[in-house]
Amino acid sequence: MTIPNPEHFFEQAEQLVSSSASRRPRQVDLRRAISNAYYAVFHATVRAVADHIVGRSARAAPHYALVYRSVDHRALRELCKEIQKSTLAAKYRQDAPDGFGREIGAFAHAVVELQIRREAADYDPLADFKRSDAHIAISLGRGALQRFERARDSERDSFLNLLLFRPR
Amino acid sequence: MLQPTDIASEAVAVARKNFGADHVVRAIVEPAVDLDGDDAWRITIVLEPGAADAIDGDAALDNLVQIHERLRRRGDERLPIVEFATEEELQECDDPES
Repeated sequence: MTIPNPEHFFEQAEQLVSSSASRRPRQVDLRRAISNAYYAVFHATVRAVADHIVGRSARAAPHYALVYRSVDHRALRELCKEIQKSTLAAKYRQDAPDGFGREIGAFAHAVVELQIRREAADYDPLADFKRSDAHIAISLGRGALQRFERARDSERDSFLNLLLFRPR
Repeated sequence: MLQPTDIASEAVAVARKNFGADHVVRAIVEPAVDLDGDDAWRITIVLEPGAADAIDGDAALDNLVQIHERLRRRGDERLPIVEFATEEELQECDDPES
């Protein structure tokens, strides 16, 4: 059992965008780097979901993988777009009565941004990527995870609950 | 409704506050759509060479959030998709296949 390590995604991305006088990153390197920046955040998030619901001590259990795999990109994006709004919809407020503060808010912004960038990096043949942009995408991903960790426990728990259990 | 020139002014002001005035050259703004088909703005912040290496995650994140907040305060709900480049990178012509 090896759970993807978010930091390893970032490190691989940094290797891809590093350049020297004799080597400029290729477009495919920049695409992979931007995609990695998103996947670092995605895997950190779904790992947090599974740790929250199943527990870190059960990481080798089959149902840990079941929970880990149950969150898709659209669900993550929809929740993060909702959090970006100035007022949280009523159906979400029931499970997040205090709303979400600046840390989760900033995390949500980064998720939406990186997901858009990842979609282009993985699938848009006409998109053109720059080293500066890939470098900052990696920083943005790292910053997002730091903000997520700095959020109050109650807010983080609400976020993870809403990601897995969609209110009706 | 804000025009691209308004968006560019706001983006440059925010970026200069977060990254330092010396690091930010200008901003290029064009209409875009997000993954749900909603209208968005694609904002390319043009940096001085080497500036990207000095921008950490907190600054990048603050920049993103503050641009969105500024647009919203001015009545524009469109999502800003914020990208970065240097003038040199904008001029680069890569192989057509890579």
